[in-house]
Amino acid sequence: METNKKFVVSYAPHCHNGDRISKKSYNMMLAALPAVFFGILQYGVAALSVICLCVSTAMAWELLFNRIMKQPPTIGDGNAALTGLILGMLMPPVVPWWVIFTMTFVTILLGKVVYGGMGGNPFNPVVLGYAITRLSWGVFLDVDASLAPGYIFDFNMANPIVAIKSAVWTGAGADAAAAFPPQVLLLGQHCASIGTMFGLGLIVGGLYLIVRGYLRWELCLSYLAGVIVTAALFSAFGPEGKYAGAAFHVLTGFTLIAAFFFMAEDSSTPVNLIPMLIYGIGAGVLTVLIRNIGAYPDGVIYAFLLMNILNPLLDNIRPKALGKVVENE
Amino acid sequence: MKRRSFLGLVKPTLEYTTLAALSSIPLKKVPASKTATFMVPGTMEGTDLLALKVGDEVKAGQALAPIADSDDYAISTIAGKVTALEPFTDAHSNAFIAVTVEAADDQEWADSLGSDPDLAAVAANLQNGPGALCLKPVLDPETNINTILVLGMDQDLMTTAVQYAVKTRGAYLAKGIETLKKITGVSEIILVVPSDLTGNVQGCKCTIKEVGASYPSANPKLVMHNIVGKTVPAGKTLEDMGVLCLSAEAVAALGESCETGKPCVNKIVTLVAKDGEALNVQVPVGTPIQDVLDVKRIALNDGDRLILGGPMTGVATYSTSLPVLPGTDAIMVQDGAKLPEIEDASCVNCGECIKVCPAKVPVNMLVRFLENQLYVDAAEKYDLLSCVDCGFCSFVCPARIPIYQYIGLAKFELSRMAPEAE
Repeated sequence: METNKKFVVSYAPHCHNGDRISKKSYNMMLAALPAVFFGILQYGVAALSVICLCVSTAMAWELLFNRIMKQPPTIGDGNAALTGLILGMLMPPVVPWWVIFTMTFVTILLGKVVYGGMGGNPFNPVVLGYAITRLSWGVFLDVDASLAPGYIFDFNMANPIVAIKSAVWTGAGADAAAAFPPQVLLLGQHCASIGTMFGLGLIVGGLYLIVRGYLRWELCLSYLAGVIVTAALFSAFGPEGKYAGAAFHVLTGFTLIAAFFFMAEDSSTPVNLIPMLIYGIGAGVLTVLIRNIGAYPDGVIYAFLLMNILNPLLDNIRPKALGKVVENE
Repeated sequence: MKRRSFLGLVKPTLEYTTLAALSSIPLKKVPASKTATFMVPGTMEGTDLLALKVGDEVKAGQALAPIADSDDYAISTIAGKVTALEPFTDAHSNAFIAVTVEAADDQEWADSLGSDPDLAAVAANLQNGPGALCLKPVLDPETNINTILVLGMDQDLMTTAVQYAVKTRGAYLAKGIETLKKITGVSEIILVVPSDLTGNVQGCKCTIKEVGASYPSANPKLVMHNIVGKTVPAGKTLEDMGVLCLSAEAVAALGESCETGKPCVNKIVTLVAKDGEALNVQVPVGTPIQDVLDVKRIALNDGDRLILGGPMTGVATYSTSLPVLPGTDAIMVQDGAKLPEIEDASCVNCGECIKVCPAKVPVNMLVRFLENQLYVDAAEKYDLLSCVDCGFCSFVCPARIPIYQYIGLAKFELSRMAPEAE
């Protein structure tokens, strides 16, 4: 019996576990919400406008590039929105609109589009975009400068990571760090960029991502271990009282957002176990080295850019495939 | 089908379907149909050489060999008249001659097998029976087969045909193994069964090993690596290692044929309906798929998918008039509205495939080369040939890249390039 029904013919497998790229993007945004909401609560509507502008312009730029290159729109995968959101989290509460426009433009163009889109980028787009903007108009991304005109809080309003930098030069870093005990940093009673104030929120969001499998624990924990061990070595073996302790380094600056959100960017991070550990530890060590003996207050951004370059090399360290024959030359 | 679990921290697993889930459902028997079609490897070129013509009378159990000087044949499962000889090309570009036989009223059986057949008689009469028995490597003087691996476990998910054969045809399986030992002279026979069926194969005089319950541990190359303890080098086959791999159903069919003196023609097929409900049916090889679908009154519509084989490695096909083949362990239908889509996205390097790959292939790098048709580099640098064809990488890919299709295409292209290079 010949039927004229037209069936769908396709290659195996004929089933899928239902996962898609957008699910990771939306879960990451969900995980970021506690920290973002806290920042908006603390800094008010100005912070909200910065976040909104970051997200919307990042999406708009991506759509524009899709159009220019005659590609189907990719903003549906949520990656542009996520990139914008994480950028917004790194911003102080008051930033000129044109800085954000330029920053998201550079992030989407140089971070993603020029490499052929998501997955082809060697650098974490957020880190690259922030680094370029920071070098170009650093003063507009400075938290202390941004807060100076109008914000008044009933806690110590110095940005800890900057406050300690000048103290380290005078050999009193540990004392300066003592002004910011861990519970203050965890509960967001200090001044930092919008999304990095609320340490506890970032940790909760990050743990959610690890449990859901969107963030590899190997990357996150090795990074935190790298920061903790290096910072502890500095404070133990450095000159008495010169360097801040491990807890301070973990809870200030971009350390937590890096550990839980930068590390979840797939394209710029390794996928094999040993490379993941090296990548994490390397980024952790570099972060503290730059903070303690480098010129920049926060080392996270440059530590990540450096490790991003190493990533393709690191990922060559991989397990032997089944039945692989190694020929002797 | 199993969805991505909420807890993504641990490595995702897929479990084989075991018979325990189906034990209450009896085997349905599909009667021989009016016409049956048999696929014999070979091309129709030079038609005047064909040893079989339209109108020839054939007996049930007779070896149909349309090409005179070839060893390839198919076993006719019905007696009757040849009504058509047509060329057929399968999804992997293998050429066949499709021989269609219309059943006669009187079912006469061929008796060329004889009692107590030797290797030559088995090779000439029973190859490519239900379960696709293939003894070519044993007959080939250049291949030194020293071990026979009998797989008593289905290769794919949702499929229980081979397990069913092991469970219900234990005596024939034992007889088949004994026969294999006798006619091939191979003393090392390893039977691999899932843990719940070890009690059904105690009569088999061979080494019995258990296979794990998670996909793809019953894959022949993984069985070799994990259970037999010999790793098949990348790009080599089990035969290159001196190992002949046979389905337990094929061995049981051999046992039955030798016991009864006439070729076994019935294949056990797992029929999976659109709602995922599965049922084992017994059907003569060559019967049109439509007859099998009628057992459960499955209606197919435009846009649905008809799959020969299981969900992970089965081959989607285009017509219900195609026959059940000796190797068709499952027939599966999927509702067109529920098909997972495939996308033309690029790899995002998330590493899910690396997590699940049983052969530790660097799939994230491999797929970049395959997308750009760099097949030689893919094989030399990124372990393309270590792949064991399980399809797990495509199953978990969040970018929905058809990785397994890329791999299949690459292996096909490489195999075409190999003779040209010589």
